[in-house]
Amino acid sequence: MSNLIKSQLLPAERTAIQQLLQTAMSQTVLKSKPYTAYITRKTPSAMLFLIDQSGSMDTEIVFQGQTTTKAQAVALTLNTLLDEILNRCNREGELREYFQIGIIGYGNQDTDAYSAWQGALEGKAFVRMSQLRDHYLSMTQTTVEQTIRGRVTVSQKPLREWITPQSGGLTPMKAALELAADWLEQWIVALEDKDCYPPIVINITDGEATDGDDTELLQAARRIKTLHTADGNVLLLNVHLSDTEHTPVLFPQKSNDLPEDNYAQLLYRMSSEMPAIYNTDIAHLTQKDLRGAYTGMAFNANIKALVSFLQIGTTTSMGRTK
Amino acid sequence: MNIQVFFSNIRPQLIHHLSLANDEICAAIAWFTDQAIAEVLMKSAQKGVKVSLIVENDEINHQSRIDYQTLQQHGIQIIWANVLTGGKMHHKFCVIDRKKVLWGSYNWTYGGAIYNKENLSIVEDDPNLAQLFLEEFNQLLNEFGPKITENLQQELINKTQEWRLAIQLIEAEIAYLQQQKSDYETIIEQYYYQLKSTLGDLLLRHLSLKTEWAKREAELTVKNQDKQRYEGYRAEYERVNAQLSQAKEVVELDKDTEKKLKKMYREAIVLGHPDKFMHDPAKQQKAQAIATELIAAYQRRDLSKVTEIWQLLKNGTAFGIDWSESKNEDDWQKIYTRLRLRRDDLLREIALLEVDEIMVIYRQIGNFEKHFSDLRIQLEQDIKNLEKQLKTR
Repeated sequence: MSNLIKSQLLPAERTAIQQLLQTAMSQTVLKSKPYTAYITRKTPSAMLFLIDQSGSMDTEIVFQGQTTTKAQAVALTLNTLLDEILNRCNREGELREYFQIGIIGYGNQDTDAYSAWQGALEGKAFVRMSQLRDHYLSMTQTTVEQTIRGRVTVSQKPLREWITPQSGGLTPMKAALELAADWLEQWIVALEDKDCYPPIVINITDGEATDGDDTELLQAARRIKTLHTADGNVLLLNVHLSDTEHTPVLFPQKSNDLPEDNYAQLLYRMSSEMPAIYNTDIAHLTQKDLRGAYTGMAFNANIKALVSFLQIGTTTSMGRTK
Repeated sequence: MNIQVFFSNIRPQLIHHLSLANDEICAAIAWFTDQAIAEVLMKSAQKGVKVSLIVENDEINHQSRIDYQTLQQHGIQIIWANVLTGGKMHHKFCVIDRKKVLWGSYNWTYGGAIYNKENLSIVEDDPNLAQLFLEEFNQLLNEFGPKITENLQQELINKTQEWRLAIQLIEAEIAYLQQQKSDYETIIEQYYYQLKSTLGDLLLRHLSLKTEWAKREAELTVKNQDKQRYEGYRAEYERVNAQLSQAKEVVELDKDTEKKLKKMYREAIVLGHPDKFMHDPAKQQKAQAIATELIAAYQRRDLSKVTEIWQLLKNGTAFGIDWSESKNEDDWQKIYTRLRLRRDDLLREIALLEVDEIMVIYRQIGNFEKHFSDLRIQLEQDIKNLEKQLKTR
């Protein structure tokens, strides 16, 4: 179904989708115990990454001992993650279609948000595992740090690359959220009421939106968070990348856990509460107790925190594959 | 020395003076058979007067209609005198409260009252004279009185007196605590009434805006915790609204009336405390109803109602511990335990009231005026902010 999803909708198409969605959502009743569906080839799930590609993403940072830009580090992190997802969908010598993956970029001199796939996948919305396997851009080497029996060893490892670092222009985050909602609405309509594990949306940004005020951003986030499959609401997670030395805040439990920064508070309100199945992993990462709900966001994150965050955001759902 | 001498109407005089005793009655009377006098002594003992009697150990006394055992159960000490030389313990004197002496030929018998020629002298206030008689009384006690180790009956009496003391003390404490608790509750009531009349509308407006704001926020963020917050505010609105609409005006009394009210209240609590009647459910239920009415009347500062209940309890012999009823150690223990539990409950309730926000404010300043004016400023500010926030959405 993923290939039928259009990355850009005409106004008339959007109206049609909205009508279909209303019917679909009214027929789909949420389970009393949400987030329990298994991810199978017949009931796949989706992951959608929103990547800030604005001008500020070319800020230099130090990552794994090397000076790099934020855009480079994000691209590397995402490519590594896609590679890992692909590997984990390999079962008994065959590639299983557990996930459909989308990447939306915003910035890069464009006033609108866009599909960030490149090369043969350019312009696509969600892509299947087999498409991901067949259409990478290039194969590079990456430095991997491993700790074996207390000794850190550095080795080179081949890495497939799907996206290259991009940066420039403003930060139309609202447009990215709206586009994500467009894609997800189509994805959910196409589900035809199947009991699918809900899609997870991870927005990675380093700055404030330039195309909407708080209310508009919250409304756009709400459009995503109110979408649901029979198994639960779509989850929206936000990562704020920082080049400062502040301590990152991962998965806060209350708004007080965050600095009294308007932007931090906005991201907190935009982000979903994480379902209970994530709690153990989150508690392990944050060393905080299990009581109360965690909100799916990271503030002042460095790349290391981003990697941990993405691990939790994605591996819990990978654990539900069957 | 002011001495009165009577040759007739001796019995009424005697009964009159005995019933006036406050602390102590020590009487050495050869023959004691008059049941009416026994009643007077038991009533005194019930009031807490220590009564000691020395009587002749002979047939006249033993065959009289007086049940000496009942007297003893009332805590009255009875000493039987056996004069070893063959004579009699022939005294007829009585010392009341260590200052009043009654003596003469008169025995506490019906014969003495009806047929005989008798005399009785009374000196009402002469501690020195009383002392002379008490010295003789103590000698008689030493001669005929109990040797402590061998007298279990005396132990029982002592025990009864100990229990009585312990119970009276704890009753007084309960009365004091109950009054304290009621006073705190009155202050809190006052707070809510003043809050209602000065800031009620503002407070409800603030809460309803807060609820409205939380509702919108919950809709926007789709978060459970925001939904719970909204529900919390809504419940708070309902709670405050109910509390304010129930708040009644508290009457302020002048100092003397207030003092009198407190005294009446404390006494009435002791008289009618339901825990005393654990052996009699019907009585206990009645006492419970009266206690509830009493507390409500006190909190209304309704002196006439409190006095009415006080009078009712005072008149009714139905209320108050029946000291005449024979009780064993277990019974005493049960009554005492119940009272102690009630006391502890009150202490807990008072401790909670003392940390109540309202009481804390009251203790710091003594009134709520400043608190209310601060609160008004804060509420007005908050309302302005909330209105602004709700408009921009």
